[in-house]
Amino acid sequence: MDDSGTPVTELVARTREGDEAAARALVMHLTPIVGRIVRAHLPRRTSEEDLVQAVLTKVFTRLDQFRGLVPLEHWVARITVNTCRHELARERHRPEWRHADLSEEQVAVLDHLASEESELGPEQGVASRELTDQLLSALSPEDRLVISLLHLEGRTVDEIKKITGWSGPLVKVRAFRARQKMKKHLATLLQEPRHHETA
Amino acid sequence: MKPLDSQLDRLLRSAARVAPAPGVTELPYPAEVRVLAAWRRSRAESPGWLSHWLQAGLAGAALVTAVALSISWSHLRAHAGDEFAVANAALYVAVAP
Repeated sequence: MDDSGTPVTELVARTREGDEAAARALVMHLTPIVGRIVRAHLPRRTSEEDLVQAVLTKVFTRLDQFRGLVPLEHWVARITVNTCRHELARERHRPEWRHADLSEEQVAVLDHLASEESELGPEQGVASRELTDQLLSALSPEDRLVISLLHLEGRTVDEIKKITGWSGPLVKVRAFRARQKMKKHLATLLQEPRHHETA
Repeated sequence: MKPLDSQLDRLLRSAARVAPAPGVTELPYPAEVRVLAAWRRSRAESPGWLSHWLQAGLAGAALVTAVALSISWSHLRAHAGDEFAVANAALYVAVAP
């Protein structure tokens, strides 16, 4: 149901018949959903608004293909994730992050991981998120997607199957391989000499 | 669990606790106009009625072909012994006074 209380299925039906007001209401209803997913899977060099607009354009020009077998939001989520994935695939450059590229807070997170067994504190959340994003940016779009969905958004394998269209075993294999790559990058960062210590 | 697995898990758990910013919640007016313009254009270009007529026409043609084939097949089977009829007819015409 959208903000005005109209069921989404009715909005879709009216939009298909060419109702402008329903189409506007549908844009307003879908924008935050698309915006949230785009934020989570945003390619580096793409403007967030441009990507949201591109996704919504795809959704509206393909609305006739929506069969109603799944909720509209799931269908839209799948289009959004695939669009982000394709945008990421166009970014061929995968940066190798070095210790010198990290902020003091991120270095503190690495130090904590290396020296302590305990969980990171809430005050280190933002730095650990940034560090995670940097590790993710070195992965392929598929690897990045599966780690984001599984570990950062806490989705189940079943949910990821529905969003991506991949099989269960493929999701698990991709997650395993992506973790291996992240571990390799993390190990490199943990082993690199500290620039601020040697300077 | 290996230390590196544990380190990565702790990092991911900490990152997951940070709620990401909500992202774009409202599309700017020009962007909304562009989305709706693309939707109108796709509706105008969509050959919906034409494709329905074409589908109906193809289905009708397929049905007529199937009926014609079945009638021809049954007719051919009913007159299976007449393969010399044409040759005989030609012979009679040629030798008849």
